[in-house]
Amino acid sequence: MLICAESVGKTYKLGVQTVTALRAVSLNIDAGAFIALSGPSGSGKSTLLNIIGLIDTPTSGRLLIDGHDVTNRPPEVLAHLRARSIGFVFQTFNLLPVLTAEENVEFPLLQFREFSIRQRRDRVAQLLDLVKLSDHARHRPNQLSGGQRQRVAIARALATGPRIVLADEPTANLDHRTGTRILRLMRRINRMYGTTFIFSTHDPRVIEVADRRVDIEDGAIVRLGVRNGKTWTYAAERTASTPDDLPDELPDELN
Amino acid sequence: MLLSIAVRNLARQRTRTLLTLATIGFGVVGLVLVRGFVDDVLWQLRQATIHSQLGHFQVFAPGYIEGARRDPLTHLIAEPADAIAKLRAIPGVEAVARRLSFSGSLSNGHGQVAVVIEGIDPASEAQIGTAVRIVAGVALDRASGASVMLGEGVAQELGLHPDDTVTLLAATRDGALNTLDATVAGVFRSPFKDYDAIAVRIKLDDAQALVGVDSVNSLAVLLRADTPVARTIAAARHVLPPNRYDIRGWRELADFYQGTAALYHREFLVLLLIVSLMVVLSVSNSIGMSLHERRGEFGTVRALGYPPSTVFREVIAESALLGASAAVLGIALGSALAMLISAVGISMPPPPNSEFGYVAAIRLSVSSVALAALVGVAASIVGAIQPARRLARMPIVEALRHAS
Repeated sequence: MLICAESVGKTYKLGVQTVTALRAVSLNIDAGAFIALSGPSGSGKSTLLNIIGLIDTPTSGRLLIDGHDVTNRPPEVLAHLRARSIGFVFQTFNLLPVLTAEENVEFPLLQFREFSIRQRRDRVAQLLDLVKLSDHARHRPNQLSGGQRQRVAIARALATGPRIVLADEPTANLDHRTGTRILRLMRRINRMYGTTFIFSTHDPRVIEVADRRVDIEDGAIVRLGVRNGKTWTYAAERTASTPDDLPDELPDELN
Repeated sequence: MLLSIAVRNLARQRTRTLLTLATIGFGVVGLVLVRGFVDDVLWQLRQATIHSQLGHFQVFAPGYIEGARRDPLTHLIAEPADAIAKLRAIPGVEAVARRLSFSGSLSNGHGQVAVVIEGIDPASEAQIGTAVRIVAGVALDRASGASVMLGEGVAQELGLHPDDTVTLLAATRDGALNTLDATVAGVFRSPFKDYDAIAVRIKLDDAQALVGVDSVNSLAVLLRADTPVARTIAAARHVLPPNRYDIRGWRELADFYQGTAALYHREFLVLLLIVSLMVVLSVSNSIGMSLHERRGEFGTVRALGYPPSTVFREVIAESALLGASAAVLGIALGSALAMLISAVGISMPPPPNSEFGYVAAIRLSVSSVALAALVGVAASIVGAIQPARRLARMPIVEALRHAS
């Protein structure tokens, strides 16, 4: 099991009120999954995504990644885990505006002393080629379209060869056609490299691309679905598993 | 790349960066100019002190400094000729002047005033006392017979002029009273009014005859320009054993200089603190605003796996770069202004205890420029610490909410 959330809860203070964002959510995700967390705004899907991505901490329950309990680890340890294991694709792309496309992709790699400049450049070129943006390597984000920016963000998310890529509403700021292309690209990477993709969305068209869906309402999982051809089969158990035809490990070229 | 990012971020917010650069830069300019002005004022006071009374250092008999006021004739230098020969042999020594100082009174038949009588070598004293001006009459070495040079205040007190006759009265070493009739050769004005109000100078032979001694109570030593004073004093202490000679540097003997220097340094310190505070607040405000706008970016950086310490360092590096750039600009502008102001000169009124006005300049030195630069950079870093800490501690999710 790559990710295991056990009764994960999240509450926070809003003035004098205590707001519950997640209510004892349990979820298992195997390596190589392509999962949509769906639900309306404020349902708690982004909170769950953030907790899985180690950029937010649960107030109850625990989270295991690769069997290791990562709950309540210090910020420096979580940062190390994020750098090694998790890539992020954001709704607003979140590219660093002063860097070019290739520098944005290279940026996460600067944390790793084991990469030489040559290795970093090769990897960046490979990833920009993967997202078909080699011709735009020297462009700044403000010189790119929304779809191009999101492709740079995907290349950046893959730069360190993470096992998990989390995408928070990755198509929300894109038109339908561009959004579909982005989803196809993520799906292709998922199939090529076995990278686990978990994305949050409330767009039914986006959910259709996923193998598994986790429907969340009012901070709780209300339904777990598994794709069965063009329809969904809803399971009673609160676990999403990996399709058998996807590899568990990353191919060598990204390790 | 992190440095490159810092540079690009500074360039990106051009107006804010320029304003912050200007604040830090003008702070540095202010420090360069004020410190240069203070250094020049103190340098001129130092020169006046050395070249009017003290020389670069003086040699006394042990116990003279402590007992001089009570009985200056008790502690005399045993073999001044031998000491002078040894001092003159030290590299850098330009002149050694013998002095015999004691208190007495001066009268002209109509009035009498208490004075300090200084027996001097007119020739050697002329070398040391270049800051002493003769405002009436002639110098002692051009006068014949028993002659006296009067401080301007003494002359005014008794209404004396050159060629007037006066009588000096002093106690001999044995306690008897003795007198010396002398002619006023001239009137002098030193940079120090207090001194001019009580000092009269006579030839050393006349002074020794007046008080019945054949020695002196001090040797004033003048060094050539650029001779290191402390090193030469150490050399003098080496050749003149401390059980027979007490050697004091000019600074130890110059109470007025020390008081003035302490006052100016205290004032400069206050200015330094004000400028530092100004830069810290300005940088803190500027960096704070910049980071506030870039919270989302730093949230992204943290999400990508960079730890809080990297975010902190990045912010500090950006601010240090800003401070260093401003320091370089401030030093360049400050130095240019210093040279311009020095070329024109700042006309200064006579300071307290002086009759001399003077023209001040801005004296640039490596230490003053380095201090100004250091303050610019250090204050920029200090100003960034709190915003950087706040940002590094901000929850990632909260920071990401502000990403656009």
